[in-house]
Amino acid sequence: MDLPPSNEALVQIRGVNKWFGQNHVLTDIDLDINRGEVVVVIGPSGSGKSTLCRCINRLETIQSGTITIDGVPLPAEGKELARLRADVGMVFQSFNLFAHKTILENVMLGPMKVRGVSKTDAEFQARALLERVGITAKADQYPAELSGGQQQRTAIARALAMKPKVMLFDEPTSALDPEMVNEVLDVMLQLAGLGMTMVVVTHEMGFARKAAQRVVFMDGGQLVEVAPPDQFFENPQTDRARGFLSKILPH
Amino acid sequence: MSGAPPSSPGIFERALTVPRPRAGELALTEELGPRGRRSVLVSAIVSLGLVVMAGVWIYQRLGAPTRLYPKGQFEPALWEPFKHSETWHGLWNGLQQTLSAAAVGIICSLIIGVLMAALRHGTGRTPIALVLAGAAAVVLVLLGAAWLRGTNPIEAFTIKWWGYAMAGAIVALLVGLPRYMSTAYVEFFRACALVLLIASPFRFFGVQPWWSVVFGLTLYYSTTIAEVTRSALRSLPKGQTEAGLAVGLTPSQTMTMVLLPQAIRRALPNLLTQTASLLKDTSLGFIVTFSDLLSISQRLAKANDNYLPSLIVCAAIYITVIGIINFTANRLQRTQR
Repeated sequence: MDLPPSNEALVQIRGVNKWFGQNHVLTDIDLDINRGEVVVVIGPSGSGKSTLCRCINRLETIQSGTITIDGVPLPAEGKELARLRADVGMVFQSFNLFAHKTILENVMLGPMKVRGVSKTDAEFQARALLERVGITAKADQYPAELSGGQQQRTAIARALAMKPKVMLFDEPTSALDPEMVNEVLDVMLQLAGLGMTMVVVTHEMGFARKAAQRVVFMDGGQLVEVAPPDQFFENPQTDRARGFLSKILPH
Repeated sequence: MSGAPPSSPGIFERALTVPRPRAGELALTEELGPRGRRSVLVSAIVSLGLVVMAGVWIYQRLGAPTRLYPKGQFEPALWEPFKHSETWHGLWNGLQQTLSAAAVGIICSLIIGVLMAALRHGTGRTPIALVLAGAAAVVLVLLGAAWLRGTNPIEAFTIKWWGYAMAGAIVALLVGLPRYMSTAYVEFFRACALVLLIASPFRFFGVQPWWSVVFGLTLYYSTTIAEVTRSALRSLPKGQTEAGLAVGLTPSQTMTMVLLPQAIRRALPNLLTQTASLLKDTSLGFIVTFSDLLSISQRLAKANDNYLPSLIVCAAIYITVIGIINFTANRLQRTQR
């Protein structure tokens, strides 16, 4: 009876507000992310979409409201917070692989130090994950020796190694050369197909159309529109969304 | 026209050209043109000539007969003592004192310095395990040193009760107020004259000379190492911390497993400079009657009345030891990459 009902949203964001000094970056955000759902967050730069994403694993703190993951409110600190972060995978815009560790060690570190997995098991699992994202050949090289796309795929493998309940992607393709964007998006599509719960902040509208169940449009720190991708792209309900789409969609 | 490849530069020319940056290195210089090469060559020859002239002049001045040294200071008789094994025995003893004090000093400085840097860079919450591990490591190193030197550690640490009270208070405050205390520690001991720090344990606490030198050096060099390490920590991208936390590491795990290994690697050249500098500063131990290499050399010089040869030999030993440190350091750094 302690188990949360399975139809409850995996991530619940309720009345969240955040200020950077005088700057109100998130205003009364309410959003539910269901199990297995892919939610794509889009919006102009400075709209607060990255901040929202980073609030979900408390890399940014919020000043009011609540965020609940799998029925548990975000802990404020300590071991509980670390344990929660272990359940929330994160992929950064700038990859942030551990520069002093090989690709393989990058993927092994979390399971060994956080989950207490043995070295052999961690390596076995890491090699399997690297194969899944297509970087087996580079396992013993250092991040600096890899291309951006390869680094980002490694970062995805590193997050997956923790067997997360939800994956956060903070503009995962924005720092990539154009020819490497698709290799990363392919991995993400594959992940979405496997039923991973994902929150993706991105400018890739193609990915939003293909993978998202819902598109969240943010502007000025507010959720302006939440809709299925077809509806959002074909028939946006708000002026702000229409204005944004007219600027980014091909002529 | 095919023709031969451009003639490769000769040894002399190669020695005089600015080295091209190795792969991955960024150099501020660009390759020189013909005029640049000529001016490098000319200035090299001129300065080499000046150096040789200065050397000859110094040699002649020092070799000239004076009232104290009627046959000049390079007279073969003055080198005579270096034919005797007792002289080398004395120097070897001095070198052992110098090296052992420097080794224990640098190990303790590294432990304390890195710990201070981590505390000052951290969140303000004390990683108690880290502080206790650091303190335990320092105590173990000191006990090990006492055992190796055959001194009774209790005798070696004959510090008055208030010395222990002070050390305890520093650890306690570090646990309670890590950022303020590590800052205060670093700012205070960095501002102290090294001579003062070496003299104090000897004068006020009755600590034996070797230990006094080790304590003084540790107090001072732990602060410079803390600053060197902290600046390396600050130079790391913020994303490394975030990635560590996002994977589920605790802040102190992120510090020890992600940040410190990278920071220490970045700080390595500076840390080695500090090591060489600490080694030379053991010579300040003369104020607490520490029999290190330099003071033994001076004693020998006085006994044999051959100051110049003695000091030249002493300098040569210092230069050799520091050369070995630098050489191994460079090797180490190259294999690290």
